[in-house]
Amino acid sequence: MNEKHFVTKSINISCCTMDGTAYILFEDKGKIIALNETGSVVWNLIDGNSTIPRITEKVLDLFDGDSIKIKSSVVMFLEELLSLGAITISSKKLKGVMRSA
Amino acid sequence: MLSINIRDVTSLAKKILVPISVLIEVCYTCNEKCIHCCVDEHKNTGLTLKQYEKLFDQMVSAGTFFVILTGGDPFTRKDFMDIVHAARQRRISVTIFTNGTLVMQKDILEIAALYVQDVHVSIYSTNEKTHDSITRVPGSFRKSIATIRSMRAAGIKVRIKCPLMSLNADEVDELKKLATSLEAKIQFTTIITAKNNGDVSTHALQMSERQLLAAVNDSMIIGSADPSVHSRDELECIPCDAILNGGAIDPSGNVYPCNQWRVSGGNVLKEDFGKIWKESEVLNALRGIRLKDMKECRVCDLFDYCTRCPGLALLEDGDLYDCSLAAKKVAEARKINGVLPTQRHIFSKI
Repeated sequence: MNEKHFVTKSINISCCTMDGTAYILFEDKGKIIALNETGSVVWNLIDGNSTIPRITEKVLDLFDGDSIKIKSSVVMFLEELLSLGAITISSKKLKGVMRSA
Repeated sequence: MLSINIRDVTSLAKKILVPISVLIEVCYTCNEKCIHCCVDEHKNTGLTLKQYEKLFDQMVSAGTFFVILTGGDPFTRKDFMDIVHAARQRRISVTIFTNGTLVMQKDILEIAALYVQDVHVSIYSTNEKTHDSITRVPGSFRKSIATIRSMRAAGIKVRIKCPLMSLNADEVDELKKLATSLEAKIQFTTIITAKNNGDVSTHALQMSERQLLAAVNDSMIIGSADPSVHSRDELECIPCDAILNGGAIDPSGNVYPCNQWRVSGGNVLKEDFGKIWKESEVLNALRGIRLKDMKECRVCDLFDYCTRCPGLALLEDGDLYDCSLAAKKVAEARKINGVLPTQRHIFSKI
């Protein structure tokens, strides 16, 4: 994962956001996870056209606090999503649409 | 991150009025002419792809997690896979209902690549002649079975859908074996619904009393609960959860609580889907219906055994509060066999 990478929600997942909480269904495993409030905000910033710095920038606009800590938390969270297979990273922007709630 | 089960997600949707699972009829056109079909006119070709793209955007905003894409047969639309693609681009979970006869190999590969949750294929018999006599299309059995095989080979989950009627109810064991041999799930239904225009002539196709009693005794056809999931003492319970967390959209864009509960709350070509779902006066009036308003059900000795669908009750005789004769027949058979329903979404506590 580097600063030039674009982040996309994986095609093997489905998701929705209810009452501020994002739910992710892994279609191949039949497993659903719920994200916490901050995780849900980050999740909904993943649109296939934003790089990691861009996502972090938007998170910083939304939350007060130590910017270094926030940036590090966002990267850790994205790494966790990547290890779960919920997101993919690419050097190219997503073609088409990926709407966030 | 917290692992969570689907029931918790749907319960939350019910509490906060989110249309979490929406059935979309993308057309009424169909290449089969099934004798029991609930569609009364097979002409409507549905909304345009652009209109569905806009609708999916509105659904994402409304919190929709799952869509079922059905028809008619959706594959009568040349752009059907574009519609599936549009839903998956937005990461909405997709299930497809089809007869399977028009699905091409390239569609199958795309369905697999898009992680469509599952595909439900209608199979009515293990006997080619019986199946084709129900679809009224010679060769349809072979095509549908070939599609199931190809889908399974591509790793797609398939569920065979089989409404039981007098013509096929004696074949349940053979149908189960067929499903096993195809590595597919199978789901039987025991009610042949009235047509969408209220025509109940399809009821003549229902199983005989003997067949229905046998079906009710089969735990794979009808699940059995103990104790009852319904309570007549819960006077504030609602007829069906669909009005809170469901939703259906017909090929003209009309929004209903469910594809069987055909009372329109608005049209997505005129208003935002989420706004219709939450603010429609018609839908909100339906949300006000309680068991206490349903005088027959409250005192009926079949209550514990009944899975009355409010939409079917309305279709049968135009009365939303009245008994559903189709449900009553099944409830009678359940009572004789002591089989309590498992359907928690019917007569459900808020």
